[in-house]
Amino acid sequence: MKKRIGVVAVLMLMVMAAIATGCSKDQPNGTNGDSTSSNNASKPSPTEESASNDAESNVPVDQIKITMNLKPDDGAVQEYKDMISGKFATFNEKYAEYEATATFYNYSPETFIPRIEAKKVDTMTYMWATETKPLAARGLLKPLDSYLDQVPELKEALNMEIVGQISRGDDGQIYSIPLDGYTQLLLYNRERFADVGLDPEKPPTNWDELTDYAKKLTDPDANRFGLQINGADGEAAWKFQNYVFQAGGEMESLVDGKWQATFNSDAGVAALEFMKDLKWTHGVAHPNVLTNQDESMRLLATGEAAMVLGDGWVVHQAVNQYGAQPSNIGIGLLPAGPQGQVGWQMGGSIAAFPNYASDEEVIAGLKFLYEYYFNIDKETVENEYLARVKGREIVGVPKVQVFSTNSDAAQMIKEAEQKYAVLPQTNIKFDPYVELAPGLMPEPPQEAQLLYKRLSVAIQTILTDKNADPKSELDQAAAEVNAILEKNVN
Amino acid sequence: MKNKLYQREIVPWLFMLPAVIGFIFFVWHPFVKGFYIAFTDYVPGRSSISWVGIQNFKDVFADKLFYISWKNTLYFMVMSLALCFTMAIIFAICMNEMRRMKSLFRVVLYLPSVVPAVISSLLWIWIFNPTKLGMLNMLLGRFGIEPQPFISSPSQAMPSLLLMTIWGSVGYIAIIFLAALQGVRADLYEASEIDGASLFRKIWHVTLPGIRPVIEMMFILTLINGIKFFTEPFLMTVGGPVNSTLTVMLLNYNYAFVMLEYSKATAQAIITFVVIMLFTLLYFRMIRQEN
Repeated sequence: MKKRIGVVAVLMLMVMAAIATGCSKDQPNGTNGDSTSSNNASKPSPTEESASNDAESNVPVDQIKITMNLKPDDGAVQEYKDMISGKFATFNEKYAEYEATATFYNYSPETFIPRIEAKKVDTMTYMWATETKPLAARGLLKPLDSYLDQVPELKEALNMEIVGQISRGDDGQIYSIPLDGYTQLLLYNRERFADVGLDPEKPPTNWDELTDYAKKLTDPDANRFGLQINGADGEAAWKFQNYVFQAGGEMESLVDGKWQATFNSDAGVAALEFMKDLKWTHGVAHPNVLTNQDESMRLLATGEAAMVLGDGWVVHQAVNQYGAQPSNIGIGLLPAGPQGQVGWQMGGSIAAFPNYASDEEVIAGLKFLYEYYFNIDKETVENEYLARVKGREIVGVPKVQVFSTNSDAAQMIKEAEQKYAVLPQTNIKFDPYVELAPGLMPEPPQEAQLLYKRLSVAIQTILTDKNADPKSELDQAAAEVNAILEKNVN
Repeated sequence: MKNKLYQREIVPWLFMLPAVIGFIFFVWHPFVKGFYIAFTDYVPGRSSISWVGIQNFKDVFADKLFYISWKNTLYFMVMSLALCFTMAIIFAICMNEMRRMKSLFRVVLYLPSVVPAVISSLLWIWIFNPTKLGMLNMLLGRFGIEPQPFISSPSQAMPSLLLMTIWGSVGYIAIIFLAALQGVRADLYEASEIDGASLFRKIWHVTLPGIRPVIEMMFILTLINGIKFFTEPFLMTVGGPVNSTLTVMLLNYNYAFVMLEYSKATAQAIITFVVIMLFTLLYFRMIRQEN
């Protein structure tokens, strides 16, 4: 009996050792294993694959394996899943020396940092455009300039103006590839406009009109408000910057070779004064000051707020999550400021490589990005848009194109957008291909997320204290941001 | 003899080894490494790492948010202790004295404790809706009170979170007190009754001394939980508005995952650890003095 206990203990130890070994062993492609090769069903396991590679000399033995977090979640419609896996399969067929696999991962700094420490991030991670600079500054991303020269087709296809705005690090090198773009728009509830006698075909075009419209649309007794101002942590400043641009200001500037917060300029103060007036003088802002963009979509869909600032991506939330009718959503440009100045923040998504990616992986990854996003033909685009519509995407909402302007690809996308539009194109009260470009403004080039966080406190103060002074609040926030810039950037 | 030694000394360790290894790797290793990281400019994923001395601690102490977070946390801690404890003891004594519907009362009181913090946070966001549609505001409206901003106001946000916390934890604490109350000797009550003690005197001289060890244990646990207050402000207010619900743990999260300053976050965690340790030592000293 005693002997048996000893044997059991030793066996348990061996099992633990085996588990520990299994845990520490690197997954193929350096991912956490939650990945699906586009043709996993037909492909043998890595062990089987190497065995068969030996037998079949026409299949390269040293395949470069790359991954990207493009796998849709389980709830996505089959057509959308097929479209993604089809694009991976096409790449794998075209380049026998590479094997690209889609993984499921939603980027967040909380999870990305530990993953990069453990060398478990994808070869290319699809992430927010604002992440290029802070991650590059901390040495976590691979510079891509020299690799782009080896994939000239991608370099040629990219809109270098957008690359310059969101993909370059402080040292001037390119650290990411822009994949898609968005901009802030004025989203409004057409029915609410009609209810109070406003013309849904004519959204407000300047601050005065915005105020007048919002006043007419506000009825606190009926829980109806003209405008929703986002005051949630970080998002408050993210949205506020649009008003700063319209007032003719900037969020950050390079002064004597040093980056400084400039949102406390006269323009910035005018922007915050305007916001304060909307909240306290005119009483047209929804009382919930902690709302984020998601909550704004609920307010828009239910009509609690008649107008909100939002990027195009969230329209699907208003429709799919909160039951808004696409025909009831109007989209206008953000109203111009007092001097007629226009400005709307542009952002988007990028693909970035971790600092430990090998040369071969980066080259393979760039080729993959070119094939997946930029080397498109009419049939592929049509199929993709059809899949998007079936996947309940609200196609037709204006967005920023990352292609070279006037390229064939840009034209194809434009045609498909119009052909498969779910949002009636007559609800868009401007020409997205002409009128968007002049007002596009990049997010703060340095430490954007930290700037948003500190500045949001000033905005929350204004939204919760009618006696607060915009100038002193902005000065205080600017001093805090400058201290961060001094420490991390300058 | 050798076999006996093997059975008695080696085998138990072999059984314990997997747990010990896990404990070393997942508890002590990060704990000890944290002390090292706090003195470096460590960035995860970057190979170079330099010794910076106490700079991270200086940075933490120079950050005004550090003091705001402690002020908020201490306010929450003191208020939750005062309110939760008082209410829990009252509820426990009531339940102990109840003759009818005792079980129903226990279930109703304990039920909020089984709701996960994430779910209850989402629920309370609706309850605290600052418009007329909010559940609490609807209730206040019936008494002619104007809609209140609750978590949308810097002055009401923390008290609102406090209210929610009391709702969630008072039942749990009360049930523990109730268990302790049932262990108080009945003959002490009988003796005090013979002596003509009033209800209040019975509670003061018999009940509370009888459950004192449990009160002390719960006191220190509630204190530590107060310092660890994170989920509700993280989900409901993200520390706002105007940092009014920024807690020590939320600031720690911000340092690590928003500012990506792991070393600073670790330095702040060590400071928090020292504070918790001081409270714990104080508790042990109190116990020793009593003994």
